[in-house]
Amino acid sequence: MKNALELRFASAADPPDAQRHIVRVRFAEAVRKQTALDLHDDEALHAFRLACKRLRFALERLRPRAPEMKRAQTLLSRLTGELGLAHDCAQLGLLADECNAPLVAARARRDRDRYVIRARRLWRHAFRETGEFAQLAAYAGFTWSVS
Amino acid sequence: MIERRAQLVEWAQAVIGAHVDAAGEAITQFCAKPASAKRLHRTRRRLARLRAVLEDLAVLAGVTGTFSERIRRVHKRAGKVRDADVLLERVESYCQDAAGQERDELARLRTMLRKRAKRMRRKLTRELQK
Repeated sequence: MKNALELRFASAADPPDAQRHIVRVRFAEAVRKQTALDLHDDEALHAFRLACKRLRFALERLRPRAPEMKRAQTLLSRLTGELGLAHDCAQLGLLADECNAPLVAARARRDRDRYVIRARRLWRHAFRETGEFAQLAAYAGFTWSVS
Repeated sequence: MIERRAQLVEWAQAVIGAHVDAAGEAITQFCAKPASAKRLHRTRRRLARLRAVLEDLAVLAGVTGTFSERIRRVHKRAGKVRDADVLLERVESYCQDAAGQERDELARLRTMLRKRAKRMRRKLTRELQK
């Protein structure tokens, strides 16, 4: 679940083409795992966070030649930050359970939920017509409609 | 066709090479001062980027699985040190407004996490010096 999809570059003509392919696959990977934001599954959320990080790093490598990706990259940085804090709280909750510390476990889980709500808001906001993912979607050749 | 492929392979190897150099530099600095949280953070960040670039380009560049696996293992070790540090920070921040039973629970967790952070740092340093 956490592992990255393996990439093939059979149709890539040159390095810019290969970079576009990487971004496209990593973006699709993150979109596919976005349901984790609505589930109470820490493992799925962690996998989603890792997918967002892979996308962020791919954009980071691309950016010197594609400054229009800055908004998406900044958004992903904030998003992975929130998800990282949620992950830390989930870990603390587990540790507190193991150490028979129920009050700390409950507090850590409340905090975890708060960070997930913030991450969900950031992610959804990015998909609006003028959101942070607009340029990224155009570059990757993605379109969507909201019903 | 073959020329095009060779150009791609060369590009992939150059991208990976640049990340290997950056991570190597951070590791050298960390090993010189393993107690430094800043150097640990930099090492972890560079290893994360190297790991990501390997996930993207290792097959194309012909990088061996053994190398990617080693980077994955070292990155994971560095992550464990960071996790212990971060959890300890959170426990300490909870301590500021805790009372009674919660305070006792936090004190126990803090002792445990301090020991864990030390142990993990030792393990990481050993792994990096291999």
